[in-house]
Amino acid sequence: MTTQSIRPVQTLLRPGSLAGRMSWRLQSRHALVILLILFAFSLVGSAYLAQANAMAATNLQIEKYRLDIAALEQQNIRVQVEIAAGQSLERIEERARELGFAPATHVQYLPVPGYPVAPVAESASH
Amino acid sequence: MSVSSETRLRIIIMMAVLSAGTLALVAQLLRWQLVESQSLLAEADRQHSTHEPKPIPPRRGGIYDRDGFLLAAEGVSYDISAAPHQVMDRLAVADRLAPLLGKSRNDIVGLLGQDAPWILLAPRVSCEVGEAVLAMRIPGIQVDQFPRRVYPAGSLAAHVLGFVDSNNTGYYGVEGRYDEQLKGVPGSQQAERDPFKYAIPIALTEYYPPTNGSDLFLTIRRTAQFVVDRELKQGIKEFGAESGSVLVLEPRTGAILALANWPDYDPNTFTQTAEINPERFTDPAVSEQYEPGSVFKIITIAAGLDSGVITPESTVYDSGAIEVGGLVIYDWDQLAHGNVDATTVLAKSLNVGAAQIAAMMGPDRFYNYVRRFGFGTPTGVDLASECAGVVRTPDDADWYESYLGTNSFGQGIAVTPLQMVSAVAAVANDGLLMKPYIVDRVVEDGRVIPTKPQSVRWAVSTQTARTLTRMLSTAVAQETTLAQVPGYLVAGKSGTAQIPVHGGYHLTHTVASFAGYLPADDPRMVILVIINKPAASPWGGEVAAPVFARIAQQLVALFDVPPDEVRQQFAAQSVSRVVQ
Repeated sequence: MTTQSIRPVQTLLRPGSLAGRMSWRLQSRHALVILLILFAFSLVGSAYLAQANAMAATNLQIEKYRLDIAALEQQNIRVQVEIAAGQSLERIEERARELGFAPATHVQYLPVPGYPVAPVAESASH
Repeated sequence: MSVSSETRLRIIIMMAVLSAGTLALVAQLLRWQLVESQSLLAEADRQHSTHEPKPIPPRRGGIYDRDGFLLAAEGVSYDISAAPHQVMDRLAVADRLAPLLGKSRNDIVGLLGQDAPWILLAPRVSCEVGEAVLAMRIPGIQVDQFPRRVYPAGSLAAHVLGFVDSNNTGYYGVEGRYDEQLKGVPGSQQAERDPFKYAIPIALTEYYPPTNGSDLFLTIRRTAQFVVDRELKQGIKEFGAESGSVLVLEPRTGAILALANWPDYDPNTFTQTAEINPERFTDPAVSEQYEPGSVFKIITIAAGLDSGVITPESTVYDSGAIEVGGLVIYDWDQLAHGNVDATTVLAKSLNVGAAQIAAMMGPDRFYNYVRRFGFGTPTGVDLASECAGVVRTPDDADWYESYLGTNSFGQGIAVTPLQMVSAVAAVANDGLLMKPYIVDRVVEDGRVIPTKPQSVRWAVSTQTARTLTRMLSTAVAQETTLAQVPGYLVAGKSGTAQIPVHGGYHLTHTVASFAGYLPADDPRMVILVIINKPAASPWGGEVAAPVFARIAQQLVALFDVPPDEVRQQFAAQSVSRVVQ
């Protein structure tokens, strides 16, 4: 390329010239596209991270609930055992005696005329 | 602006280097993603996954009485241990732990002073103690939780329940028999883990929940069991006996309403019993045999009536002694009673009469009935370690003709208390032998599976059973008056059996027993009382019969069984309403 041919190109490439402005627009458009692509990737990446975070939090919550359920079941059984121990017949008998109760020695049955009576269950032998 | 050749060269070299680096990176990525992907994935899986799934233990099923009262449940116990080198102030720690662990301060100081990486301070302490130590947060003190079986009712129905060891394995009773159903099925958890072994929350996890053990609801009622337990202990103490058993059965179904033995044990502290008296774990009502004595005459008379050999009015001549197979058999009072009918044989418990009736039947018929009543084979009850008893028949090489005589009054034959009460229950149930059972229903995953009563066979005909019931009622009314229950007609038979020892029978020790049922016309319960080696009196009619009466009097109230007169009045009202 001759010096003479370079000069028009240089003239063209000088800032302010039409060619220069076109070249600048071309470069900025490229940059914009690259930026948009990067932004899209980052958007997708953020969405993925947010979802992964939510999943992790949910899994941890599920695990915590499992442990809570197990602990509550254990506590429930412990309460049932305490209730059963409190309702033991030795204790009831002792407490009844403290309150002045005495064993019932005579049971009196009072037939009420016309009172509905359940049918006697059939035995297997009949 | 012109770009010098040097700059151009640098740019080209830079681009070449960058390109080469990128190419190398891409090539490596391609190698990992394509060429070595399988091996790398396997390696990652090996590092991230647990080597074995982490087991999740199931909860052992609970055991309840018929009305839903808790008898056994899975509680929690703790092991308190220490890393001595991490404990800063041994004296202060000992001061805090001593009152909780029930050990002396010096003992704990001594333990903490040991040159060991880890020592056990107190094994299997209660939930309250464990949680109190945990709350203290003492550095160097470790609290580990373990499941522990708890029995809130203590020794009540101990032989029925059995116990569970530290490996969650059940022994004896229902815990042993239903161990697999009670244990449940463990779950598992397998997850990808990070280098610190923590599960990665967003990674793949396989979780299989455990299947908790089934809950069992027994046929026994704790109120009836309590009454039976108390009266048995009272009777043993009153008559100076060594041990005893009481069984209560529902004749129509075979359900065991109460089963008590003494001596018993507390399943909560079975380890202590294991060290001192491990034989106490055996349930004598199911796993041990005894010679029943005259209670067995019920079977002999039933067989005689059903086979047509005798009627209630048939008489035999009781000369006071009879020779069977070379053995001379005497009545208990060594007296001759002359002509006696079958009812008198029962009422006066005459061995000579019973032996005659057995001889009249002949061995084949007699032992056929013995087998029909279930003797010599396990009943099939759902309790661990049931014994079959010993019944020698003519088919056995070691059977002798004299056994026909002795077996007729319950000697020379070995039965379990459960077999005996089941046989008497067959008479009470119009001749139909029922299979005894202890579990009323199983609750599995919320589903209720009831136990259906099973009939085994007709031991005798209904007519025979009812005839025999009348005879047994007469026997109680005339002779065994201590077994009577005011307001109720009781059918029953006492027994006083000699105890076999090496070479013969003990001269003085006996097994005193009474088997009876009431109300006689509509039996709701059969009760067998066995008192071993009573010192006050050897006789069943004097020792076991009053215990029977005391138990029966309380149970009819608990089970809402009105007196005979009231029941008959109700029945008449129902009939009159139907007629109207």
